[in-house]
Amino acid sequence: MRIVDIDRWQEIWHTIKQNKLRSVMTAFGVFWGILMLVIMLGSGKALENGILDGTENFERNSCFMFAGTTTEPYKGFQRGRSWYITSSDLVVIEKNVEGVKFTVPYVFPTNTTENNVMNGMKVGSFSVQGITPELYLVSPQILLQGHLINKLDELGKRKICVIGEKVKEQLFLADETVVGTYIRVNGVYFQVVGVIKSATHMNIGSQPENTVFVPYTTAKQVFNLGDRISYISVVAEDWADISKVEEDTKEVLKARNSIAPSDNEAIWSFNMKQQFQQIGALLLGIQLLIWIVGIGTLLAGIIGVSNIMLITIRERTKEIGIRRAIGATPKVIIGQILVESLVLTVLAGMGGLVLGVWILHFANGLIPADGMFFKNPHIDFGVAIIATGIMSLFGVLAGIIPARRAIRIKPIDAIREE
Amino acid sequence: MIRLTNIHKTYYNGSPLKVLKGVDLHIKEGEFVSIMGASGSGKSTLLNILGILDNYDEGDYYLDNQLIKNLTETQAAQYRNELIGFVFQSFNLIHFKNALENVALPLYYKGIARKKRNAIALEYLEKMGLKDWAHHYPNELSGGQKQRVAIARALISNPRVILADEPTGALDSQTSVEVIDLLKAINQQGVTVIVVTHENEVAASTERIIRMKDGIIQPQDIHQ
Repeated sequence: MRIVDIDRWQEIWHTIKQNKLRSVMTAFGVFWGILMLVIMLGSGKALENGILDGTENFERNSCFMFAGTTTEPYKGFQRGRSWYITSSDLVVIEKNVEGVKFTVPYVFPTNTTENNVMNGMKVGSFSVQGITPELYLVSPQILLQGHLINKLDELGKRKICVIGEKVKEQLFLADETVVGTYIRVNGVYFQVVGVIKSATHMNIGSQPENTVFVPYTTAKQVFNLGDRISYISVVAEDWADISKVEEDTKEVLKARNSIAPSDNEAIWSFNMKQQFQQIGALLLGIQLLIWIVGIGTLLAGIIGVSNIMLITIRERTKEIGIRRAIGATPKVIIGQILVESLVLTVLAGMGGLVLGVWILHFANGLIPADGMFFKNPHIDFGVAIIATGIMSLFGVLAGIIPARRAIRIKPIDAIREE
Repeated sequence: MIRLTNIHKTYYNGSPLKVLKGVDLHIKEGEFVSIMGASGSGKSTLLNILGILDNYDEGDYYLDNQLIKNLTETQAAQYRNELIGFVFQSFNLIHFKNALENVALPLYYKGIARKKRNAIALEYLEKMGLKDWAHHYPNELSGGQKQRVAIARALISNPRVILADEPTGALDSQTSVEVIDLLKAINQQGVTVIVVTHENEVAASTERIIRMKDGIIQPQDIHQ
């Protein structure tokens, strides 16, 4: 049985073409199945893109911690005591906990009110964060103007700030000089030294675009915060296991702050690696579901092909009988049915694939650029290849039952059709 | 050319129905014979066996000195393609193929290239006086034209035997005469022609009449 037999393909193509309605009805199930699979896979991909887009810059080997209230009495202290992380805690953590690369403290002024940030007559409500330059290693930011907060700013307790893009938009005219200007933040004047936007869509605390960043040391002093740190992030060395670092850090914090070792509610923490693993598992689950439903739909389509071909085989009893009476061998008939099935499935599948990709492309145009959680729906070339492979395989499988039925038809049955 | 010895055939549809009860028959090469009999006499079954469209339970069937027994479907298809041409009462043309493609189909199964087989098919259609109808579909042809297309199809693979099952059954008397004349002309070129019919005029125009009754052939009709 030669595959590259133009004559045979012509014969099969002729049979398909001359029976358009039958062919279209047969092929529709597969067309629909592939269309659905493509659209679902594309949507799944878009969901994944939407969730993961921009997160790749975020430091994953890190954890965040903030002080809660104790739930167990310990060392003479009653339960329900508030406590806070201090800068000396950070020094000890960096020094004593194995695998810690560095820590970042975050402080918030406590007197934040409405319209806390002003530039002349322009006002806005924004989050204010005191941070150290190490922040940029945890949650990278893109510098649009000026410079970022550096070690000298921190050590010199300089009254400077870096503002987010949206802060700038609200407080400044488009052509106004930003860097060098003084703005009033919670009643204190700070000189703007830089404008940033976030390099990642992940954010902890507040959106960097809507935040005024000041040096941690300055914030503590001018906002009169004492040594109270709002929360910290702990970044581990690449070789270190962040979950272990997280536990060890908590142990140190508990020991230094007279918290019962068994009091798990006193410190709130989460590590990014675990968060990403959970998101990863969720996305994997969605993918899996899509494939199951998609393959199911496809399977239904293929069974449809098989089914309709079976019906048409009955209808084609006469044609097949005649073909056999004038010399077609069973092999030739099987070949014809199988290839007909294959051609129909693959053509229909290709149609579904093309239309599906086109719909995804069209949908992509409709999604707003900053739309979260649904971004750039498309299917991978590899997935398309796999789908085509499955289609062809199932196409042949779909032909088997009708083909077997076809050769069971005795030529005499065709002649006795009266 | 054809030698049947003691052929038995029983159909099992519910209760066994014995259709052929020991048929003996000799037909020489180049004969023009008709098989007659009332309906239920077994003549259609006999024709199916002769055409290797059906198998038999007992006896021997030699076609062109070859024993036709327990053939695989592939072998049977090959013999049908090479030795036998069929003409049916209901024409049995493939409805979605035009006259030319219908005639050329046996050559397709012989593996002859499209251009060549279409040229040959056109030649045969011309012989049937249907050259101008080559690209018409069966539903655009009259009964007589359809039967002539079917005859062209039966002849195109140069068979040694033509089996015609009630070839005039669906035709008016005028066209029937034309078709019989056509078969006669084919016979004169050396092809063995066997016609199954219940029409006396048709039988009378053949050289030899074989009468069947209750599943056997009348003893005087076995040999020429």
